[in-house]
Amino acid sequence: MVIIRLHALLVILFLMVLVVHASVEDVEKEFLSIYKELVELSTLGIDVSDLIKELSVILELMDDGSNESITKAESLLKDIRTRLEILKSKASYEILYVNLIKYSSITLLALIPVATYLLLPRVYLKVWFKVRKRWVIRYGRTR
Amino acid sequence: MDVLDEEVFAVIMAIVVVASVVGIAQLIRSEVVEPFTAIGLLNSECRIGDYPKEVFEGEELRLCLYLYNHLGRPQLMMVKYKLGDKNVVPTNMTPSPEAPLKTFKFLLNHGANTTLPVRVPIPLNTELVGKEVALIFELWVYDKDLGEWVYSGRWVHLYVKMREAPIPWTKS
Repeated sequence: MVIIRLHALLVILFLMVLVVHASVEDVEKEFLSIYKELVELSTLGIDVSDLIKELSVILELMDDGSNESITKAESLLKDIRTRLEILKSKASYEILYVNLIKYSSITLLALIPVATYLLLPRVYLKVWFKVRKRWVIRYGRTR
Repeated sequence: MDVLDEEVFAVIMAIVVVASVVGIAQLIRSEVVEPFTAIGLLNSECRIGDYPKEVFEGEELRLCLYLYNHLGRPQLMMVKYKLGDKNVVPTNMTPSPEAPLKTFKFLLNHGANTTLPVRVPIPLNTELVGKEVALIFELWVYDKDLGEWVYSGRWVHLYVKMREAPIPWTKS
């Protein structure tokens, strides 16, 4: 009777170890999956630094390896996954916005020399006359 | 009437054109011209210098690791701690053939660095007592496309003299 109970206990312990191990593997898999997607978004020019910082905390929890840490890591990963999906849905607009700003700035910078060439002499002339508009021209000898 | 002197106008135009070209170049060029990672070894107070010259077998040595990411993207990194001698020190192409005794993982944003105090084990090995050993720290990076860890070619090592443990460990 005692031997049967001992066997049953061992089986339960083995199953518990198996469940915890499987959970750790799942967490690692999900961690790497999120990491890959964040790197891809980052290379597209999207700011993912906040999510990376949080993922770094999860890495520490995974390194700790205790059941409590793994459970906490799992729940944090779920939260990051949700936020990642939101970020992905907004990614195309974000990329469009970043590119729009970039190419508008380039166009503006390229137009500055043209504008200077065309406008500077006119503006200078206007200012020159404005500054001297009260000047009086007198003929005759000066003292 | 030529109010604006031609030479002055030419100089102004030259300055404007150069400034414009420099500005456009800054916008077009990629943020990271030369991607790299860096690893550094610091003493137990996380400062350069004053490193231990000798270690005792079986002890846990306190040191600090410094890592920097300049790859232009977030990077998952791992430092593998190995113990060897001058014959098994890594090169910038190949890691040390010794088995890692401990690993440390890091995740860094682009442009970020970290300094982490670590405890590294000095194994019980009577063959190494009295000899000069190398504490090797190799930097490995996770390749997301390959799905595996890849040696970065960066490492640091510290030569120390191995001493016998002051208290015998194997007495029961």
